Amino acid sequence: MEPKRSIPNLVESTINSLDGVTRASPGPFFYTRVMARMDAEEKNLWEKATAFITRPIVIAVVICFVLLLNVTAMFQQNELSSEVASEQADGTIVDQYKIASTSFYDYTNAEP
Amino acid sequence: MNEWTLIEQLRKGDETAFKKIVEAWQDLVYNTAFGIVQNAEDAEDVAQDVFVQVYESINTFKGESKLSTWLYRITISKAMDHIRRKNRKKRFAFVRALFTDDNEAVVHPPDFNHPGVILDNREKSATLMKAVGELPDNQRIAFTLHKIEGLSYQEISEVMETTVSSVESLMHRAKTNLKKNLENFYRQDQ
Repeated sequence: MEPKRSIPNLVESTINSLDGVTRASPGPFFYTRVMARMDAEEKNLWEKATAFITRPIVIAVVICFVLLLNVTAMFQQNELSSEVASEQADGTIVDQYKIASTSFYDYTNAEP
Repeated sequence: MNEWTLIEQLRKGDETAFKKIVEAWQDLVYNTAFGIVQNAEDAEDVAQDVFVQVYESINTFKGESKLSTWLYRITISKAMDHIRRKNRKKRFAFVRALFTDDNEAVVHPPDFNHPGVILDNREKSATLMKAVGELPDNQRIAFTLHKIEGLSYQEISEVMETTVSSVESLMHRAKTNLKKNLENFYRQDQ
């Protein structure tokens, strides 16, 4: 039975376990398989597009863009509604104090 | 026939030149891919991919480096892409397994079984390569090129487009991390 070796020795021999390794080779007829792969490689456009769209970075960018659009739209909506509110407020003041502009027609055709 | 003649012929679309290039460099590409992806099937897949790319983009090869350096770069890039793709699939399979009863969805990779490793060292090299798989990408690449392909630090620096001192630093850090991981592994094992 092999005696138990100390951990530092084991670690050292594990790190050196690849010393003297020889090159691995692919199986026979590798060139034929490469040529077959090239023939089959006519990837369709959809496959490439799907691969691009499903990349995490693309998904993250799209999500950020949509969020940005939402935030922009929200701010614009707020500005618009405050403008409308102030216009409506102006209208009520004009009605209440009757400071609407009067024309010559109003004086001459004043109703009793 | 020297490599420049072959490259020129391949640029003209000569398939015989392509065949000669594949036959001359297939072991380099396959062995490097094997070291990174750590199994024969994936290494074959990556190696085929590399030569398809070589055929398609030989015109972009400017000849500023040796053909072998260019091949190493393509192989590393393809192998790392392959690993990332596989990890993405694994994560997806894991999430799917959480929500379904489909236990087959989570695939455990087989142990590293490099045919060039001597029999006595097979188990240790499998343990080592498992630890190598947990290293940061740059350390993993430098270590694999040095140990599996036997490249010198100078050659690794050319492949990785960095300085020799950076490679030395990468190797030092890789060994330190490996020692730490392997010590933990053997402690748990005892």
